[in-house]
Amino acid sequence: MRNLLQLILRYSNFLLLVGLEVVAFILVIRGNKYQQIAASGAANAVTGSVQLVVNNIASYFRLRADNEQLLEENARLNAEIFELLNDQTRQRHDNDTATTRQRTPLASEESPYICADLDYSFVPARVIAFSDDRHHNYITLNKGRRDGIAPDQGVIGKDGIVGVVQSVSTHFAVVAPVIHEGLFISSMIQKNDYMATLHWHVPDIHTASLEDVARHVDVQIGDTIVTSGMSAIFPANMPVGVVSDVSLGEGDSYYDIDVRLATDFNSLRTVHILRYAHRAELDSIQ
Amino acid sequence: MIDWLKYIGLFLLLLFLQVLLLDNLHWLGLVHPFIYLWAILLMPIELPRWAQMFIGAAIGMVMDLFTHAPGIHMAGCVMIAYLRPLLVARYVQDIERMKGAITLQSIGPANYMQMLAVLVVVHHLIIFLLEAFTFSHFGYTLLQIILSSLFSYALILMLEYLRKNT
Repeated sequence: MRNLLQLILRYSNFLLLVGLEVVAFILVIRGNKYQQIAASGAANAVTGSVQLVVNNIASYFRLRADNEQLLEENARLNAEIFELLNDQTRQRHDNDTATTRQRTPLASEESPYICADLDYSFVPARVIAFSDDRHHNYITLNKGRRDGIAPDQGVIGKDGIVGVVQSVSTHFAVVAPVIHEGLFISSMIQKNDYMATLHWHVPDIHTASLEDVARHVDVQIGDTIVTSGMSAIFPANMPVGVVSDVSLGEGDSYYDIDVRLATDFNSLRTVHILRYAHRAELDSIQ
Repeated sequence: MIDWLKYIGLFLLLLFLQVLLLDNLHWLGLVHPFIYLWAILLMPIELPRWAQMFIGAAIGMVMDLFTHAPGIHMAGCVMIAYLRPLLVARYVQDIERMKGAITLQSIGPANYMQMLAVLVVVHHLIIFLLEAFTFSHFGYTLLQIILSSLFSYALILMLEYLRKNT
């Protein structure tokens, strides 16, 4: 017993090192599992405020580029409004004979997927910090619990999907972007609705790979990849990217597909967070 | 007491430099220097070793808060806080009589440069490998470690020279 105590005393420093490293390692493992970060409250009021101050200063130097982005998005939205107005007038003509005015049938009655209809609301947010050189990147946004943001809500930018909210504090949210190795995004090939999983690996932040596409499927360079709508995070048909490379080995049963991501994570300044109205209902039965 | 306030002030300054400037550089998605670990080098050597390790852990945890990845910087900082006295003992005969921070003057420029190189590389190895948490794309991670270590090393040496001359 005495010898044992002496041994422990003699190596106390080393044992302390081992103990502290084990604690750190447990933290790392817990943090690496995407689901568990959400519970650990990694979005923090203090760190968020500091990053907000930096971003407020830095954003003055990018005003011109930001304006151009916003103008571009405005133009796209205007085009969409015109398209919708045209649709509406056409429908009114069709419904002239109908006796009651009902809510027009939603697209979700035609397709089995959740669609971007009245059930989603959009919260605009600004990117105040991000990383692009890690395996598990992050984006910090200036909207939080106060604005109705909660973990597992989808985030989209002007070009396509951006990521999924990981954790929130009162004023800030941390997002796991598509360029996060722990994130798997349910997507489909737009032309034939074939489901596949999008997954990103280091180092190229512009390219991800599309997994689980069997060899009988028709897939070509230039095909558009969109979200599948199989979860409440993203509605169906949100742009994800474009197929940039397809290869199939002699004996392989699955393709190796590279997808050029629609979103440029380096120039991302403003995003929208998607809030799905029937989230609680869906979660309660799933 | 005054020394401790000075030390905490210096740590906050380093932390701000790290978080406000270096974490926002995004150099090619490859180079990410960490200079905050200079604070661990400046810890008084006469502290008991367990205290040095706990302070290292605390510094790492503060850094982890800013990078949204718990445990990674803590692991790196505890390791170099443990290694530092062992390395100093190689260069200084009577470590018992040594006091204060590890600086260019206190152990000599050549020794300092060697020791700093070892600590920076160990720290960066742990941090980048833990963040990756995989050996796939190991070449990329290795390149990140080498380039980032070089930049951190140069920046900390620069800071050390600046401190010496003021």
